[in-house]
Amino acid sequence: MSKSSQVDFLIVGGGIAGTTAAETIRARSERRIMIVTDDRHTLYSRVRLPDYISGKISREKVFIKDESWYLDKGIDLLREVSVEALSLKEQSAHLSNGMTIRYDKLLLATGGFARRLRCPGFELDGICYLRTIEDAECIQQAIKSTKKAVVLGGGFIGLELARCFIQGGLETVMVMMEPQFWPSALDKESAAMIEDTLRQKRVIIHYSDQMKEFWGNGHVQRVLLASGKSYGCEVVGIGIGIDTLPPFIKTTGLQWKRGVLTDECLRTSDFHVYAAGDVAEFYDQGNGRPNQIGNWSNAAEQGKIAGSNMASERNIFKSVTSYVIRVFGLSVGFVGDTTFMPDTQVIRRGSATDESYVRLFIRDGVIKGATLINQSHEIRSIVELIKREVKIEHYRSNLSDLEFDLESLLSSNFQQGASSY
Amino acid sequence: MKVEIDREGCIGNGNCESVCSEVFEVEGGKGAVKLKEIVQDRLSEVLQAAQDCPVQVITVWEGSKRVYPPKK
Repeated sequence: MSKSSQVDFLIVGGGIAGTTAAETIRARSERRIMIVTDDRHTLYSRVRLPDYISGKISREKVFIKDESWYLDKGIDLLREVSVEALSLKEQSAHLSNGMTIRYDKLLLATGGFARRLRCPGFELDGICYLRTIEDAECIQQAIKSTKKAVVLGGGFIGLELARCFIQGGLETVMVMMEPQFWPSALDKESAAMIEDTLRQKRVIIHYSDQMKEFWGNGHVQRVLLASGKSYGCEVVGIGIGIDTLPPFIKTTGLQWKRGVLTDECLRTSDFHVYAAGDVAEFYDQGNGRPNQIGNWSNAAEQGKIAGSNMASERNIFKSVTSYVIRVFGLSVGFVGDTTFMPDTQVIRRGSATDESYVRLFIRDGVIKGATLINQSHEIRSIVELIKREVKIEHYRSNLSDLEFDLESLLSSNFQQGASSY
Repeated sequence: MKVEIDREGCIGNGNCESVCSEVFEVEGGKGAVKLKEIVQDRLSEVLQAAQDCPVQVITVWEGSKRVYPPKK
């Protein structure tokens, strides 16, 4: 390939957002598409990594696309190559392999990078993250014939790591900086339900604490926490969030804050450039402010919207995101916007005593989000209520009754009743 | 009993396949139902898979009655 090349659609990032965008464009256009990725693999499923770690599925099953898919679709896949610089004026990307690619439309779908902890001893073996297939294999190795694990972080990844360790029969300690699980979304009662479930699995939990130092001789043997507590361990799993801005983006002149800022159609501040997935801080029309969501289904959906818009359509990204995580016997669900604002009101359905507990987040008389413990079957109704912006003002007492069927608020009779109230 | 997966919303995390591989499989990043009609003996496993689905895309029918998500 020559040092300089021209494509119609250049996609930076070969994860689910970038690949879905490429597939969406190909369904609409015969023009030239290239994906540039620093990964060495074709598309694989990050959400299947926990099953791969536990040995439930083979390595092969983790992969979603093989090389023949890219060939069949006529999509050039440039692997183990990263973007070093971007020129918006020239509409070109300079790559780490020395090539310069000119584009008509560019998609930034660079994903996220597991945030690294840099305290003393961070380079010891046995300290693992959970983002890539290599990370998963690192964990697989590290939990072989070990007995004790420490997890840092109490979010989705922290809990996945804890589950991997506990299922592998390891004594597990969890450490998190927050005073409870998900303080921004869950109340104390919901968070305590997660804590109780983990304690039943003999997990030791330290809140409001952090890692100070790792000790070991080549391999981690002990951790020291900021509180002074210390635990022996042979493996440490770290899930303290992701960083989403690769250095080359910061110097391009594109507008960015936490991520690359886009409008509701996922177009950035440059007319020819779009962003999708973890890196996109998109204008969330439903909530009237920028938003950034780091999950698989959001990335796939944004890839679809960005791809169609790059192929000259005009589609708005308006998804209500939802996710359920299983913490052993407990299901913990999050729907929509669970940010607590000054004007947010919360309606409670059920309680810890009922072992089913939902909190509906209300703003401007409509549901904006929800957290659900052991009530995941209500998620679809709640998503619809959010999407349709159903006015709930006159049904507050109904909503707080766990026996009340949320789906009934979606039926036309009920809505007619609501409007004529 | 019949089972449907909303393929559009499916993220293919394979939880359903882990719970009941006789009924569910994940191929190409999406879940699929292997059987058109499922024997009643599998009901509890199928319901477990539907309840645990992280993106809630599984619907279970017994005849014309929707059993998951439960219809009141």
